[in-house]
Amino acid sequence: MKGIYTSITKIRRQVFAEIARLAYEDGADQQLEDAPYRILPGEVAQYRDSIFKERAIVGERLRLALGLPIRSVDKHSRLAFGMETVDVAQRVTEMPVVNVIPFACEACPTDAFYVTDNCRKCLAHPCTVVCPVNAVSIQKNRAEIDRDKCIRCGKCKEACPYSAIVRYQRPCAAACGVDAIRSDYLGRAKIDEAKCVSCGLCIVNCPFGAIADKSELYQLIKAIKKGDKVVAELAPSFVGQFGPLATVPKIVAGLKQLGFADVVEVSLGADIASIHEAEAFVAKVPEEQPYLGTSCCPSWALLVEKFFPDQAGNISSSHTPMVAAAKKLKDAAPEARVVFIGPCVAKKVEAMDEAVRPYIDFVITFEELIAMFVAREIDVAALEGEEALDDSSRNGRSYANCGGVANAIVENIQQLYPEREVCVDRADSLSDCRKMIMLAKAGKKNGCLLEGMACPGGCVGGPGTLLSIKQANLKVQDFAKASPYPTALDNPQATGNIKETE
Amino acid sequence: MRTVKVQICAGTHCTMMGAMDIYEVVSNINDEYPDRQVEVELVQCCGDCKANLAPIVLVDGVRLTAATSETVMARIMKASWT
Repeated sequence: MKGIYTSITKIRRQVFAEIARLAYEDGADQQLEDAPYRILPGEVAQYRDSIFKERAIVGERLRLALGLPIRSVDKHSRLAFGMETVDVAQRVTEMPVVNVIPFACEACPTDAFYVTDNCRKCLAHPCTVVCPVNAVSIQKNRAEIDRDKCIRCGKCKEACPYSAIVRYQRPCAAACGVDAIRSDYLGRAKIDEAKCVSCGLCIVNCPFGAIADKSELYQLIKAIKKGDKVVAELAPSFVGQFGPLATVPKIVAGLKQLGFADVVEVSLGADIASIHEAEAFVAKVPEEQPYLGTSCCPSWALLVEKFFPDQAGNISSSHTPMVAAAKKLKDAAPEARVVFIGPCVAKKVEAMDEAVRPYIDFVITFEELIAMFVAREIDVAALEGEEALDDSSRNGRSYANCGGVANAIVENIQQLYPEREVCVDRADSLSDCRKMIMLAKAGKKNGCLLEGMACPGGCVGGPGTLLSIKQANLKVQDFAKASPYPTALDNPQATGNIKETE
Repeated sequence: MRTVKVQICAGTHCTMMGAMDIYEVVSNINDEYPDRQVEVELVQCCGDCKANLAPIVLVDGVRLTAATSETVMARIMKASWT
């Protein structure tokens, strides 16, 4: 449902705006109890069968947005239970980041084929003929599929001339590229933490809005309020996310009004990383490792780590753009606190990693940032902005679109080692990433550079975005073209950094 | 058939509440419905977005509050035949 604004999108954003307001005011503990009534006023249910249930669900969403865990339904506790642990000015997020709110889940049936009313009970009934396991039979009113026998091959669906047979999948499970959705004892979705790579696609694909991620918005605002020097790192897909009239200089001005001390592009880190990865590729492939996988998408990297641990050594060990840019910032100003602002849920998990923790203080999404603007009543489109961003190259900015990462690294290689030929493969969506890594494991991708992106379309398709994938892709292309530097090697900020560290 | 004028607020509050999704749907009307004609314009915030009124859309000057693509489309479809 990415790209369609639904009631679920609306509620999610209202929750973020409410949490931002609570953070800017004081006494959140008390105000939190009133928040579900502000988001859902009146006595009449708007979205579900009961206003009480709606408010209870919004309550859990508010808790997650504060960084608190979901409460257990079988025990009494206040909505603000545990508030003192998150009412601080630093990151408190703990796993799991992606959570099913169990009583919001409508326990959709799991993957199955169904015969609908379209069935004419026809004489030919090809559905029964093509079934390899004799699971389809003609009953009194229509064809029926024996669910115990069915092997879900889909032959009956293809054979029916009336389109009477449909495949029914849980949207969350269909969106999950790593089969991490299971069922609890009531048939409700339950995330298998051992498999989940926190890509967040189930969040945007559940039509009941039963899945939500934890946010660090509240603690970030507290850090700014405290007077910390907080620097915003903007992921390259930010362009256009805050409306077509909110140009880059206006967004920078808006961030400054919110109290950010400085604004830098994550793409600078992409430039640094792409030079590093180009060097690593030439030095190591194929002598030391058969292929090189990119590392910037944390869900893709986690997929390899969790499902193909013997292949994990082939994923680039370069810092991700988020970390590379933050490292540069913290080397220059150790007191700075860095917040990554992007489209990504999985970055929240990456930031918890022991090696990443020192560089990244907070991670929020574009949706969470716009909630901060709204809470402060800042209209970005109306601001006067002078300061443009010029931290990164065209290729660095193109990291947000699928194909952009591999292209940036290849162009660096071509510039540095014109003789060297590179084969490239890439995948967007985790199920395709999984196929790609399986082929790589089987030795079919030797000598290749592999770009993995968990979200369809690349980062522009991330769960924390506001703009449609198509529009965001175009905006990123325009912004990339506006850079004075074609490749990372043309960017003095990126190459200077490499020299310094050597 | 006549051209319907649609003005969509592109302020930050309206953007958060889905104005750009409405913009995308409305922008496709001329291509997707050849018998309908709209002129779409993005406008600055008029200050009405407080108190759950965002997003604001004007169809032929008539102000729709808490607009959705459903309400805006219905209005446009009706307006283009009157």
